[in-house]
Amino acid sequence: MKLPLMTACVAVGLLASYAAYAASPAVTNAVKARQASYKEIGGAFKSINDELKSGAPDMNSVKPLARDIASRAALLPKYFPKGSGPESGLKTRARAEIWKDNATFVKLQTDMIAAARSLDAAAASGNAASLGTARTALGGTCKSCHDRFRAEL
Amino acid sequence: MAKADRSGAPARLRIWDLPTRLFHWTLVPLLGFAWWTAEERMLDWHRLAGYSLCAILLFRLIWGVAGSSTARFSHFVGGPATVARYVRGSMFNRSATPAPGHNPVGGWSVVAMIALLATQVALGFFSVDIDGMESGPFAYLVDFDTGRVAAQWHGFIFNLILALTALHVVAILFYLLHRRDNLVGPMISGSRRWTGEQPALRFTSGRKAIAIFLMSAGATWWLIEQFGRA
Repeated sequence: MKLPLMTACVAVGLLASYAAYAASPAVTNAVKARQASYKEIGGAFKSINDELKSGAPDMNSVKPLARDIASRAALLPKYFPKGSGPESGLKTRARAEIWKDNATFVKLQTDMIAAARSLDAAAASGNAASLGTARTALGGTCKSCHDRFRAEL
Repeated sequence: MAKADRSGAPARLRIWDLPTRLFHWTLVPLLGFAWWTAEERMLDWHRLAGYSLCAILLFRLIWGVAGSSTARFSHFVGGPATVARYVRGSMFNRSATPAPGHNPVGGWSVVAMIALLATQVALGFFSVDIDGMESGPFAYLVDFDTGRVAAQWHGFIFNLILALTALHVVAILFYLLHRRDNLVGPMISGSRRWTGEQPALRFTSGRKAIAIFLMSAGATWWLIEQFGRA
């Protein structure tokens, strides 16, 4: 009777330590989802900036991009669960300050979502000047949050 | 320089023309400015620094085939045998005749520096920042991921440029302390002390330099104005 009991203890211990070491699937998925989203947003934002820099932006290509940014931005808040920072052991540049000073983070995130919605509205209006203003505002929200909450490599 | 006539009275020998010196001393603050504006995220100024570097590099490349003797690549770029001979025979030898211009080792560091700077400018042209907000004038031609890779290499090459600059300063200190040969003075005044037979060096007219510089600056401006989006 002793051997199975010990085996069970060792097995449970191993599992527990593995669980403590490895990030939960939920955390892993959240990190993956936010990284994919940010990458997508960065790419779409680059394309919009390329259009604006041409002097005469093609609104037909800008519109779906701005819509994509706005809808992805709106989903971002749920991709930052507690435990998905550097302590997760995953490759992430999310700083621990996100959860230490969560109020500021949430405020900056809300600003970004609002700016993304404004960009979408400006693109839908088809007015290049207001699109330019909206993109500068959105770019500013990227920077203000990144300066504070994203780790430099 | 096989025959070093040491009995001759010390005289001065003109080795660097004004355009080459101006190129060198423009490069120093321009590199510092490019670094600082990148650190401070003043990307408008950073792009301008890159365009200026592009123009003077283009000038230096043309000057390297059409300029004065000591500025020409054919004058200071030698094969491995030349380099080995210099390292073994002259480099550490205080009584060796100095090179009239770049020595065979320094010549290669000039080539390396120009190559690194040209690569750096080219990468900057296609770089995109992580937010997709700022980018080089030709980044619109590539996708976001490619632009990010260019930006990462842009950061890496800069470290190589810093390392080569440090090596350059160490080499100058080596010549100053070990060989008692001040290389900075000639890069400012254009001439150095020279004992013995003077090598025949040809100097290209300043007017030609101005024409080549205007052409280089014009070509850079045209390229970016015509095909770039900044």
